Amino acid sequence: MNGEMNSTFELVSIQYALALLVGKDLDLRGMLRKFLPPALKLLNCRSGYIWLHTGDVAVCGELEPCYSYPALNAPLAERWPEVAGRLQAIAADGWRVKQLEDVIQVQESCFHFLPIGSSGLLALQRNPPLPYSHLLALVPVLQRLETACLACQQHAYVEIARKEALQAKEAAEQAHRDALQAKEIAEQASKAKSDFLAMISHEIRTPMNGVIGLTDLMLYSEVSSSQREYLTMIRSSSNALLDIINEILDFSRIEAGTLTLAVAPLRLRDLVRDTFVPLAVRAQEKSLAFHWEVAPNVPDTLDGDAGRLRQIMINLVGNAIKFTESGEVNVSITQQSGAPEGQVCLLFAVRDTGIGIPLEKQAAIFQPFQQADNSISRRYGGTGLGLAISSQLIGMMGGKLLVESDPGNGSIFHFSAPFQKTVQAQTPPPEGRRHVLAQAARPLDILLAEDNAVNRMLAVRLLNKVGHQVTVAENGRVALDSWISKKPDVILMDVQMPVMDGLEATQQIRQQEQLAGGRTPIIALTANAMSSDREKCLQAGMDDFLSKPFNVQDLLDVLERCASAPVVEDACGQGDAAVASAAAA
Amino acid sequence: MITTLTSPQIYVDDTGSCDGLFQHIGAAINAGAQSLLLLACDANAFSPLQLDERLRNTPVPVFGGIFPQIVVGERKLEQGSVVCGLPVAASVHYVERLSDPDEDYLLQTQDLAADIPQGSALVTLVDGLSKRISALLESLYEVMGDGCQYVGGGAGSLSFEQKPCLFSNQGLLKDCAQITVLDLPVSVGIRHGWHKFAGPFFVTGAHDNTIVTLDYRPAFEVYREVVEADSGKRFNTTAFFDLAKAYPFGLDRLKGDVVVRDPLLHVGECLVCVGEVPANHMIYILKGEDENLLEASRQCALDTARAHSASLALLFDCISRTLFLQGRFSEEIHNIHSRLPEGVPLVGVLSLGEIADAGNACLEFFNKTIVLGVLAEQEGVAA
Repeated sequence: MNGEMNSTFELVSIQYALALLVGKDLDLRGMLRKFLPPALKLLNCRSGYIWLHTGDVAVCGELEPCYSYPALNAPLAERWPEVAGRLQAIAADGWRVKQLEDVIQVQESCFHFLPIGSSGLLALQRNPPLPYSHLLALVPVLQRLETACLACQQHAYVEIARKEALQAKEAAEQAHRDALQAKEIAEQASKAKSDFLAMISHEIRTPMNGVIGLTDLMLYSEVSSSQREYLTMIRSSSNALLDIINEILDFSRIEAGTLTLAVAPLRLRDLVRDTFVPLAVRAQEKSLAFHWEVAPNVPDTLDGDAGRLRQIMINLVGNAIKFTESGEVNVSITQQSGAPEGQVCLLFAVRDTGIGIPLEKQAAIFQPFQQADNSISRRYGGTGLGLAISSQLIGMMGGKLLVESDPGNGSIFHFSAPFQKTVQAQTPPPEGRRHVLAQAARPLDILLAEDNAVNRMLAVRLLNKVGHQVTVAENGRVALDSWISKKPDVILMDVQMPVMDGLEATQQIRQQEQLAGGRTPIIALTANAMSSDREKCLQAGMDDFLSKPFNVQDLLDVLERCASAPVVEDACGQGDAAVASAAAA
Repeated sequence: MITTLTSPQIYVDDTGSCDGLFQHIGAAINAGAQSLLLLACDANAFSPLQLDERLRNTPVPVFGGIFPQIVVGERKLEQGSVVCGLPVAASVHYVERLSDPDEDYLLQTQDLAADIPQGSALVTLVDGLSKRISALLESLYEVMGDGCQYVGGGAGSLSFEQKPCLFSNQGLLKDCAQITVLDLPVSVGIRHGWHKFAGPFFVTGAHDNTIVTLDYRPAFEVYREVVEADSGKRFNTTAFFDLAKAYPFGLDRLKGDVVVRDPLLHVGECLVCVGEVPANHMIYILKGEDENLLEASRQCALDTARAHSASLALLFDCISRTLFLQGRFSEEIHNIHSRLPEGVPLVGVLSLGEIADAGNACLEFFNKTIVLGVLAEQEGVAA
């Protein structure tokens, strides 16, 4: 009786110990490895094999176990052909083990086949075989093992999903990094392009300054009418070339995102008139009627970028004139309703009776370097950038450039853009070219720092012509030495020069002025035309900026401003002239 | 002149000196030994400083260890060394960091598998004071399975101080396992003679080779109650091992013999054993009588009787059996030696734990057990 009790107690205890071995890992193989070897020792077995299946299909291959202890060093059919045979029969029967006494004798051992719930099979090698009561005691343990196996499989699915999610996240992060890298490369390329354009611009502007300046100089002198005609043509061709360079630079700035609008109060009607008068001359030359009208209810004073608005109008009206052989060009500026308080929305429309644009080509004309077709380029010329730039500028102003066209009958380019109402407006610059250079009201002693011999000669001739005295310096170092020995009234400073550039020369002058007092106005005269170049000049201590090729009158105006500026006695009483300039202030 | 060895040659050094050992090593090599099994007594007090360089210069594979005592023939040596020159070349492999709780021995044993042919005899010696011997054996059996035969035991000192105790061609090693592959069939006998005396107890807390609680009570408290009641002696007046050597633990195996675990010492209320005791297992306190133990030695020798002709008997007999049997231990050796085929030399060790595969269960680490492996003659040598 006592022995029987002990036997029952032993069985229950082993059942309990086996149950505690189940589910010690979430990885299926790890869990089975922590279960089967100690279980085999407890059960005094030689080896054990576990198969898992889903319905009729084995999880780990047709006959090979998911886990075995010890490991099978050969295929099951080779190592234990009898076991493989029995397994095939069980699998063919839907993995059902009909009775717990399902046992086969192999050599000196017996193999028990026990169900792991309804989704697995355990084969135990034991000698002697286990009695039925012991096999029965294993059933709940193996049911528990089935639950643990399913949990592990579920965990594996979750892990796979987690890994896939992680991989997707990593791929997304990699894509983001790639995009950033591509952006960086694109930005570097864009900067390289901008630098290149700036360099090309500088290289073209420098000789252009000579051509335009000398042409202007000749136009200001006594020449015959035919000579004046030729010189005017040279001037016009030079301006056309300059327009192309400016368009390319503008487009480069727009692409690089560095172009900003300079919003300031403007007088719309004055601006329109000043813009359209020269265009009217062109229209007249082609016998085209050219009319413009600003609706009476349109406010005259607005906040806007007058320069860019002028550029857009010149482009649209210039195109209209260019592509119209007969008929007329009309411009209307009207007010649209619905603008927010304090703003006004203006509709600009340019109508022509020109060649028109086929519908399928209309979208392309706003793309850079595109015209309606190649024959247009050949016939009418142009960079193909004008409309792209205008479209971008209008976009920056908050509007959109649109076109309606009837090929053969003409086109309407129109855009509406919002403007802030304002009460103050700048006085428009005096317009119209004077053919006679007026003598300077106050002759100045000018130091000219310029490395290009042609430009140097041009400036000297021009300045002498209006009564100024000019001392020349070939580079910044010579200019600095000259300034030290004799203070001029004003310095015209080129930027890119050998030995010492204009920026460094200016900085050194300003440093020395801080110790000795006084301030000589310095005007940058440079072929570097980018807005950043202007900022660099002002930061270095220059007072004004003229980009080459400069308009002769613009230069004289700047000098006139310097001459008319109040004279300030310096601390040392040397009596040098100093000008109050906007930049210095 | 090149000599060829045809059967194992045994050389005994009673002095326990380093020079004595290497003198016999030289003699065995000169006699044509292809590999050397070296067994030495802990009392020799060999140190790596004395041995390492000379072991590194030994031109044939060496394996073996330092044990509390060694056996040769019917003699039990407490000091001295035995050199066994073998006619076969052994390949010797190592598994390191045998106490490292984070080590996965499966990877190390998988690396060995390619070098171990199926059917080999694996003489598996371990540092007996390492903490994860069972974990290693579990991995070794998982990889090599029942295609190999295993026999071995734990080396080390009865001082229970872990120190270098395995001979190798790199010097003395500690905290590792040495697996020597011999291309010879071996028949194995495993017996202990202990019987269940108290229990079963449930191991409710254990880690590695330490039992923390039994039936949710402090392990030493449970053990002390049983042992003091039966022996009439008290642990506070008797050295722990003097009492515990007669009352080992037995891990239950369903419808099978228990696997003995020898309690070495107690640390507070925890009991430290030779070999792991898994948690959630049934365990008994065992007791033995001289006659039962001696009968086990007789049966063990009979278990190894096989048809093939034997060349060498390797004995791994637990040191605590000699401590228990004391004067009668010589009978145990005699029981084994006298039942071996005529002329088969017996060499062995009194070990800290024994290793064997009984043939009908998994590979196990035993305590207080006799493991006898009888190596067959090399093929083509038998008369």
